[in-house]
Amino acid sequence: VTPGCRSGRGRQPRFRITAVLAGVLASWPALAQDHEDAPGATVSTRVMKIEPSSDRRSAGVPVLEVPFAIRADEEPTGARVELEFAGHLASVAAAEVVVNDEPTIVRAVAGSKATVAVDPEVLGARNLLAVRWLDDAGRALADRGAWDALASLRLEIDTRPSALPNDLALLPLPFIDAGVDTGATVGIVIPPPATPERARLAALVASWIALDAPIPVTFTAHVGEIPDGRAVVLVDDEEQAARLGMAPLGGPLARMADHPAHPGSNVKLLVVGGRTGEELRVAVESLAGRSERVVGPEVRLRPSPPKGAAPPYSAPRWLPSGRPVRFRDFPLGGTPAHDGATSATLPVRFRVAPDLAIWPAEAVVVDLGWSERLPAGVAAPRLDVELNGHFLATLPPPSGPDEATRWVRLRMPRENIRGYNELLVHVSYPDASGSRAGSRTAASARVAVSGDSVLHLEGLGHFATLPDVALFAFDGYPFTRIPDLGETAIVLPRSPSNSELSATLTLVAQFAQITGRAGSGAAFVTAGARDDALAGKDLLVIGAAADEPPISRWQARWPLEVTAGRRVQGPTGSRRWLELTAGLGQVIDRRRAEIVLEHAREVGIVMGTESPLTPHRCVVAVKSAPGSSLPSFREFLGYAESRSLTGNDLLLLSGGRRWMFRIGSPFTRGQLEPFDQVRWFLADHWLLLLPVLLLGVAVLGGEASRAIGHRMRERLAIGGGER
Amino acid sequence: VNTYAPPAIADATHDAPRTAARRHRPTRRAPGLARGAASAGAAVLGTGALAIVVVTPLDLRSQAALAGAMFALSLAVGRLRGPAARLMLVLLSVTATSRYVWWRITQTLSLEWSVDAALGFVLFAAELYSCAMLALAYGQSIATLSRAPAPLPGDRSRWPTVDVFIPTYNEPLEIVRITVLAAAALDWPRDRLRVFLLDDGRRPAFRSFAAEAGVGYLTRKDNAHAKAGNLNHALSVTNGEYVAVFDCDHVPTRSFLQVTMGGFLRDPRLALVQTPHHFYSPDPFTRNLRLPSSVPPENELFYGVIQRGIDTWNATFFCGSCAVLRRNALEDVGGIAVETVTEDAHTALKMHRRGWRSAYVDIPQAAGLSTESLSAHVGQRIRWARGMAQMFRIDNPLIGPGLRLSQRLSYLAAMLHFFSGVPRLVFLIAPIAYLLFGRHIFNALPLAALAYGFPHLLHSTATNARLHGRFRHSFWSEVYETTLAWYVSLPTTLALLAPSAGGFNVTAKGGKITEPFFDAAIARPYLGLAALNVAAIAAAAGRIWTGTGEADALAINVVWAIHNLVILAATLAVACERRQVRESPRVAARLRAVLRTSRGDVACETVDLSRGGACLEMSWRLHGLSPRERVSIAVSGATEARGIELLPAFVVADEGRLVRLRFAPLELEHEAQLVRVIFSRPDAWASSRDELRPDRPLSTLARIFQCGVGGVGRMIWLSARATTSGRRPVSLPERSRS
Repeated sequence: VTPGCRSGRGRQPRFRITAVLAGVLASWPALAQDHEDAPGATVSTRVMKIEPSSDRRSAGVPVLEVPFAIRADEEPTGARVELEFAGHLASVAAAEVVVNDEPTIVRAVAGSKATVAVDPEVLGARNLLAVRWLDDAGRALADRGAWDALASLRLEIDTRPSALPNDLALLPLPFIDAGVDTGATVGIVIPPPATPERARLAALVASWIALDAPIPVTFTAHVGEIPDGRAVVLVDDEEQAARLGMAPLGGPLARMADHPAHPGSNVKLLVVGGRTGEELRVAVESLAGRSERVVGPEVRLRPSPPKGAAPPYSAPRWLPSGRPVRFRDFPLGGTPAHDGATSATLPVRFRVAPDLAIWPAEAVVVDLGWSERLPAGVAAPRLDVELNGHFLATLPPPSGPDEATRWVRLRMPRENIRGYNELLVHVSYPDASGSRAGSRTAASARVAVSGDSVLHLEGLGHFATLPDVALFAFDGYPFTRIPDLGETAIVLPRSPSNSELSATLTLVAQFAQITGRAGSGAAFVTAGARDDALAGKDLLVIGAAADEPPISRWQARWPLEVTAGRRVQGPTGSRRWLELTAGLGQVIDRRRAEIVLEHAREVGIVMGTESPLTPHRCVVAVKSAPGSSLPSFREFLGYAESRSLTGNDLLLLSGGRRWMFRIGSPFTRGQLEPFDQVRWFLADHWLLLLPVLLLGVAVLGGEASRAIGHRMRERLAIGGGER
Repeated sequence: VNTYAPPAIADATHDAPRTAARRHRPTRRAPGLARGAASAGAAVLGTGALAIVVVTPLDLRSQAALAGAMFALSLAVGRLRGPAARLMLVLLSVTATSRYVWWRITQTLSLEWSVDAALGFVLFAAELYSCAMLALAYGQSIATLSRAPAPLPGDRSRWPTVDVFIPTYNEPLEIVRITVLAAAALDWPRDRLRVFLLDDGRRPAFRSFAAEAGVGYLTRKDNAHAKAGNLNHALSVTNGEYVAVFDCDHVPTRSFLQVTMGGFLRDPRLALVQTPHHFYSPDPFTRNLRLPSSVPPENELFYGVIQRGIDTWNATFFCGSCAVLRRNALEDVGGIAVETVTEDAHTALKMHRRGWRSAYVDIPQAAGLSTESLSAHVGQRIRWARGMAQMFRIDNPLIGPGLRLSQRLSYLAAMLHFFSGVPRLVFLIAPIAYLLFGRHIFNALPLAALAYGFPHLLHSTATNARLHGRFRHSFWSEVYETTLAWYVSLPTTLALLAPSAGGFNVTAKGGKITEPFFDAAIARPYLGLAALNVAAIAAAAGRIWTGTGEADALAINVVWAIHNLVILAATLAVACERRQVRESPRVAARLRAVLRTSRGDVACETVDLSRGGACLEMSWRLHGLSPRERVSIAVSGATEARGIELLPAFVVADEGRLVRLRFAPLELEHEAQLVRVIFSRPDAWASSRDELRPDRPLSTLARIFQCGVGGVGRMIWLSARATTSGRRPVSLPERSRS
């Protein structure tokens, strides 16, 4: 570190606390003051490893900017920026490290490391770390490849918890700080024993929390015991409340309380319940129905007014299909804009029904409108459009300085469209764009996506080939088709373990995040439930033991036989031959799955098949192989090695790696005209087109050959075969 | 009468018609209801199966796999012989093309207005035209009839009277006289054969020559309706039962009438027998690109495949020359049609509408001169294109009475073929739209376009290679169409709008190019198109370098533009006119001969002959014939007993084994004999197609590439030479009449 290079400005701490949190703290100064140092014994360090993207490296972008934040219930105690220089520095002489406008110059030495300590007073809730290269003369470098001088960059942030008041208005704090957290784990305490009804109510609470969280949330179930950390506690018994050290509950209510082991800290318990099971049901359903305003340390909950059954595809977060939808009507926001002549990405996020009937090789059309305001001296940025990581197009540069909205029609290939989609417009200004124009002028540059842009979903119905474990894992399909899970039965083991309950809560909460509505209509049953409780529904079987129905009863139907060993079992008889007409993929997949199972120890399984009770209904099982424990459901999510992204009925998880396979026979769900059903079937079993083709060519060729031969003989005969 | 029986009918007797009738007796049995229903059921089943294959959409990987499997199937079928295999190939190709068209219609067309969509529709219309032409061309060439000459009765008194018409307007006498002398030598009873020289130029020299040659000379006061009017005038003053028509440069063989007339006697409703137009001089493509004799000339597809193919559908049409027509039929349709400038095809259409039949005998029985230059070739094709467009407009085969569906489609194919100009131009500029201007005129994913479009191209190329065989090699059609595209686009469009506008231009024949030159005037549009494609490729390179644009779309369009450039380069190469060494082209002929010198007679063999001279191969060396030494030569025909008298000649060169001669000025009788030897031999052109080789598409593409590269170099050299020498490149003047 080069001493004496710090400027003297900008030393005030800049805490930007949310309005709600600020108001609460203001009204509760004594407590905040009293408990300022109470949890201070625990200092945690968060590490961020930062690397310039390959685009930045090659484009010669002059500044690497990294925003970072501190949780609202934590206080920064320090930070360090650690730079490691590469062996070859080219023209790089020094690095300027700026944290919240507080610059520090670091001399660059090839192969060395340098650490810049950041004064905690400089840090606030929202912070910006900027790094740029300087040459010998102290000028900023924007050379192509200059970032090759950076071997690694690491940011360490030390924080200590700050006390929080017991106020429900802070929710989802302390469980989730949406501005900081990229994932969260929330414990839920379920009264023992974990009956299907208690599991259902816990799942509803999980859904209610997850609905407000724009991040992945994992729920861990704790039956009858409070974990050493933040948790939601369900109570349906006064004795139980007393046993857990809770104040008595005078009826259905929600209460924010200190954790008995961490009083006056940011470790809180959200107590939901009542004196009886009925009061717990009322409290949970009231919360899930969002019929009460939840503020203050405790709120009494009244029965939520009954809601009608949700119709299919009515999920609030899904775009309605069958008609064009304007971007401004997107529930997740569709009109991003960027101000200033700096590079940025404009995201347009949207969910569509995962079973949109888009023919293979077809594409969904989007009419994208955008406008650019470019003050004098600011060069036009390059605009690249990407969908779910796949490049779509580079938008044409503006023809003049006017800010009129321009339009382009883009086609989004079927294979790139998922339930959740991110249409990104990457705005990349040329290197010197900002420096040529004045900073004030450059700041008035603007790129905006027009809200009148249209996604054309007209003419698209619903039809899908199932089972599809990817559709299930990422979109909850087919369960989320009815957003309140009204046609879903969740089958639990007779004695579910905490991991099985955790998987259940996480899954149902994820469904709520996908649809935007809590799954209040799901039926929870135990293994061995009668068929009439399962008929007519899509079944989600979680962690059933190998000898429990429906795993054992429908053994022959699953792609994996898991009662005794780990045997892959594909379709048999005529279905086996039929599946071969989809290509050799299934044979290859079977062999791949056998190899994986042969070498894997702990194996998590997601598999699906058609319900034996109701045609076109799906059964999905989330479980572990015999001898393995059920992993957290979140571990199933992520990149999976597969031959095809769709139509897989088996997902294996082992050692952090995932594989997807198509093993069994698929079935279809949705409505198509009979002729289209035939086409869809042939599209899935494309090898059948060859015999159909041969049949047509042979029959028509033979008939035409006979007719033409006859005609030629006629023409050569006396009279020429005419009239 | 010189009698000659061609090999095919050497054993013909008066009973031959009955024998032939037995041989060709139709095997049709009364089609019972069950048989008809079975056929209809099979047709519905087959069509339905193929329709399902066409309309089933697949993801890219499956589509690529299906395309691969279909092509593998096509290759396997291609190894089979016989008409059924050809039909299966055609059906596979039609299926691949239909899949592509279905995909284009259902997934790539936008009905909303935008510049891109409008341009996209133009491209799609051009593609649709090409696909329709592909299907029609399959119909034309799927069943090629091999018609043997029908035998004539042994009793010559039953042979009908024939008038031979040789229309001329402004062609030089030295060309016309050969045709007249050869026509006068036709093997036909003298009292039943009359030859008429129809001189619309009203030239005294022609009248004198006709009198000297003993043929009729007809002329008229005006030139109304050009060639059609000339023929109609002749029809009005003659009375032969049949009329044979030869363009004034088409020299018939002696056997012409014996090969063509038999059919008329067997079939009273036969109105027309057409024979191929064979050319003994190279066309501009063959000459300027120096194509070997294994590459079929441009006209071979029509006379080797299409005329035979449409003969199956009774749609063979009159080509203006080398044909015999029944006078009754001509009178039935009011004579030769005068409403269009393609009076020949139009007359045939009228005859077919009236229920007359036509036949095509694919034995070259006459030979003529090709157009000497590209400009003349273009001029000729402009007339054909305009005439066909006029017919399409005023006597559309799709409507009106008297035609069967197969005839309608055959005529439609013949007419639509000449509308290829605009679609070809669209294909030549389509990649520019994206590469230069960023226009997305193909509203689809690039790889999808490849997965659906490439199989269509692959199948059509392979199937055409099979159907056209040695008569048209792959990709040459693109060169021929590109050469004409710019020039036929406007005339065909104008003819559609105003069918009666414009005059008749006579194709220039018998000229000579004394110096090689680059015909920049005619190549200008191609130069422009080539420059645009080069600019597009450069723009693509720039976009690849800067990383803007979709890589796959760029790649596909660049390959397209490169393909365009190869075709355009070959077209430019054709515009590099080569020098013609001799005025009268030599005809290869191996004939026994005797060379008489001052030292005695020497038996030898001719290598080639022309009106001006001969090349002889000596059995042994003569040791020193001096140049300009006076000699005489006697040549005997290969299949006749009597040779010709001694012809006076001069030695041009004695090269040992080969001796080159130039004939001294010949008496008319000598000239007639020479013509008989060179042109009138029945087998004079029998081996003309022997050297054609089957198509190998990739080799053909490589050859076109080679021609293009060489042609561009030659173009630069000729242009530079013209600039430095101050000589302006010139093209042959086009002769026109109205």
